[in-house]
Amino acid sequence: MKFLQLELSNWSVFRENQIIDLSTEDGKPIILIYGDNDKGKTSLFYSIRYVLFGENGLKSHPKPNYRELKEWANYHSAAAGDGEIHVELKIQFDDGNIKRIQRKRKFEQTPTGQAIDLSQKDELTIFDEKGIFQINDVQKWIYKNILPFDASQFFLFDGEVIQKYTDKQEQYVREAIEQVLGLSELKNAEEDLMRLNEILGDERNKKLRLVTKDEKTQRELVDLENSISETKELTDNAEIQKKIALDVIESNNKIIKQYAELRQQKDHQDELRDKIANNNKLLQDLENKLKTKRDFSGLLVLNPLLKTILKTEETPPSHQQWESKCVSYLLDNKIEKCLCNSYIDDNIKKIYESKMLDIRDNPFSILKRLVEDTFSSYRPDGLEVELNQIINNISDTEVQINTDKEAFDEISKTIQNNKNVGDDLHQREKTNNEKMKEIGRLEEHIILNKKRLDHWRSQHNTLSNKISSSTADKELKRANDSIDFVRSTSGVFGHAFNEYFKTRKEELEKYISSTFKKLTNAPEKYKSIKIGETFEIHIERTNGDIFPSHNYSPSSGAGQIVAMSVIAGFNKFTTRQCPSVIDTPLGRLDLIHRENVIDFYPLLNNSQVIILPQKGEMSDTDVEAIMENVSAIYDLVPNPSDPNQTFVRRRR
Amino acid sequence: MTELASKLFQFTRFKRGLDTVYEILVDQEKLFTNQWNLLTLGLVYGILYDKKLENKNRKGIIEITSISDRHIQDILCICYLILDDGRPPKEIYELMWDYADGGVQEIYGMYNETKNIDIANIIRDAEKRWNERVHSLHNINL
Repeated sequence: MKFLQLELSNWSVFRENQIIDLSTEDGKPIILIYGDNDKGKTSLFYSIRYVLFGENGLKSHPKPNYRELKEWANYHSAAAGDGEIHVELKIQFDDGNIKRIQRKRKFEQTPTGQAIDLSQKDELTIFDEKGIFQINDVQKWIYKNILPFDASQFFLFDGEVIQKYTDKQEQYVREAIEQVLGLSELKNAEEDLMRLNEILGDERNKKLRLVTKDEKTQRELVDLENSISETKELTDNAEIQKKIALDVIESNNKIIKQYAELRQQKDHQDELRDKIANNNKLLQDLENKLKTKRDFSGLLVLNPLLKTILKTEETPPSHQQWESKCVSYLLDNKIEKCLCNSYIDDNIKKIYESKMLDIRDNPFSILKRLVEDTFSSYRPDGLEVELNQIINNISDTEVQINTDKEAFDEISKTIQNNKNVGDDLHQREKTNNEKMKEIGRLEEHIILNKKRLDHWRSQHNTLSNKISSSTADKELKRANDSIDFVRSTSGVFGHAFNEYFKTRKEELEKYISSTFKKLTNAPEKYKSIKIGETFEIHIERTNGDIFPSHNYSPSSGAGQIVAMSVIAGFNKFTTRQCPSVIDTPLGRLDLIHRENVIDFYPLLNNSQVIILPQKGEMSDTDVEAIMENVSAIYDLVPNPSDPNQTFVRRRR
Repeated sequence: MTELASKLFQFTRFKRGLDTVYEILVDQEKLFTNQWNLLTLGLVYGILYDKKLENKNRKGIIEITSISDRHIQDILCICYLILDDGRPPKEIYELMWDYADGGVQEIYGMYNETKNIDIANIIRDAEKRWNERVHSLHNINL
C-alpha cells in the first residue's frame, strides 16, 4: 500500500487547497517534507491521521488542546465565513486499486479568538474510479483495509514521543503491538469464533429443543407402536377366541341337529311301529282273504280246462231226444197242462211214455252243463284276479313291513348308541349359550380395539409425518458439526496464536536486537532486547543483566533508539503493509544515533516512508546519505503576509 | 248235496290217505279252511300232472254229506266226469282218490321246500299244462 496524494484545505495553516504528490518510485520509498516549527509540519502529519481516523486520530498529540478537531480548523477561514475542513488521501493498494478517502467537517463562521463552531459529524466518503464507493460503515472499512487505529501509532508516529512505546506497558500499547504483528487478528478470529460458538450454541439449543420435541414425539410414537402392537395382539387373541367359540357352537349345533334328527327318527320309529302293526294286521287280513281264495285253488287250477270245455262244441240232441226230454220233464214234475193248454190225462200220459227214450245221458254234455253252471256261479277268472291281487298285496305288504322293520331296527340302533342324549343336549345348549355371550363380549372388545387401533394408527401416521418432515435432527447435527468445527478451529487459532507468538517473538527479538545494535552508539554494551509475555521491553546487557526499558535511560535519545528499534521490528514483521509517516524523526538524538537512524530509515518500511523533519533536524549530509532512496522533497513555505497560510513546495 | 252229485257219488263215504299231510297243511298251517279244499286242489293237480298215489289201505273216511261248499261238490263232479271213460263208477272213484293223494303229496312236497304253496304259480302253469293234458282225457270231445 502506498499513499499517492494528500489534498487539504482549511486545515490548520493550510487555508488554501494544497495538493501534495506522495507517489514514490521503486527503490525510492522516502518522501521528505521539511518545515520549520509551527509552519505546518505536524499539521500535515495529523491531517493524515485525521483523514484516516477522524478526531480520534488526533488523540496521540502530546498537547491535550490539539486533541480536539476544533483546534485544527483554519481560524482565518472560520473568521471569514462558513466553510469546511477538507482532507483527502489518495491510496494505492497492493492489488493496484486506487481509492480516495475524503473527510470533511463543516464549520460556521467564528470570530477570531473564539472556539470554532463545527458541525456534529465528519462527512467521510470513499471514492474509487467509478465514483463513490458504496459501503455501510466507511470507518470500519478503513480499520480493516488500511490500518487499525491502535496499530497506527507504529506507522504514523512522532519521533519525539515514541519512547512511550518502550515505557511501562499500557494496555493499548500491547493491543497495538498485537495488531501490528497480526496477533490481534488471530485473537480476534479466536474471539469471533468463540462468539460464533456462543451463537451456534444458542442455535444448537434451539435445535436441541426442537429435537427434544421430536424425541418426545418419537417416544410418543414408540408408546403408540407398543399400544398398537399390544392392542393388535389382544384383538387377534379375541378373534382366535371368537373363532374357537364359534367352532364349539358349530360343533354343538351339529350334534344338537343330530339329536333333533334323532328325535325325528324316534318319532318316525313310532310311526313305523304303528305302520308295521297296521301292515301286520292288514297282512293278517290278506292272509285270511288269501286262505279264502286259496280254498278255490282247485277250481282255479281247473279253470283253464273249464274254459276249454266251454269252447268245445257238444253234439246237438235229436228230435226224439228233445221230445223224450220234454215229456220226461212233464211227467217227472207231474205238470197237469201241456204247452198247448191241453189237460194231461192218462191217454196223453201213455203217449208221452211211448215217446220216452231209454237213453243214457252224454257224459260230455253233463260235464259241459256242469262246467257252464260252475263257471257262471263262481266266475273263476274274477277269483283268479282277486287271488293275484291279494297275493300281490300280501307281497307288497310284506316288503313294506320288512322295509319298515329294517328302518325301525336302524333307528333302534341309533337310539341305542345315543343313550345320554338328553343330558348331553342340555349341556351342549348351555355351553352354546355361554359361548354366545362370550362371543358378544369378544365382539364388543374387538370393535372397541379396532376403533382404538384406527385412532392410534391415524395418530401414528400424523406423528410419523411430523417426524419425517422434521429437519430438527439434521439441523441439530449441522449445528453440532458447526460447533465442533468452530471449537476445533478456535483451538487451532489459540494454538496458532501461541505458536505464532512464540516463533514471531523470537524472530522479532532477534531483529529488534540487531537493529538496536545498529542504531545505538554503544553496541558493545548490549546483548539483546527481550520482549515479555505482555510485550514489555527488556534490555539485556552483555554482562547478562536484564532490566525494563523504562529504566534504561543512559541518554535522552537512547530511549528513542530503543523505541525506534522496536518500531522497526514491528514494521518488519507486521502483517500490515502501510506507509510510515514520521514527524520529527530525529528528535533529541545525539550525532551518532542520528546518523544511524537516518541510515536506517530507508529500511524502516518496505513500501513507503514519509518523513517530516524540522529544517535543522537533518543536515544536507544526512539527506545526501539517503538521497538515493528519496523520491521527492517538499518544503512548507509560509505565506509572509498571512501567518495562517502555508504552501507546500516541491524541490526540483 | 246236488242231484248230480248224489246221482254220481253212489257212496256216501270216501277213504283217503295222507292223514298227516292234511293235519299239517289244514289243521296246523291253516292254509285251507277245510280238508275238502286241499283235497280238491290235490285232485285237480293230480289229474293235471297225472300224479297218482295208489293206496289200497286208506283209513281216513270223508263223508260226502259233510261237504258244505257247493263248489267242492261241483269240482268233484267235474273231475268224475272228466275221468268217466265208461268204466264202473267204483273204479272212477278209486282213480279220483289216487289222483287226489298224488296231487296232495306233490303239493306237500312243494310246501316242504318253500314252506309255502305258490298257488299263483301253479295256476299260471296250469293253462299250458291243461292244453297238453286235455288230449288224454277221453271224455272231452276236442
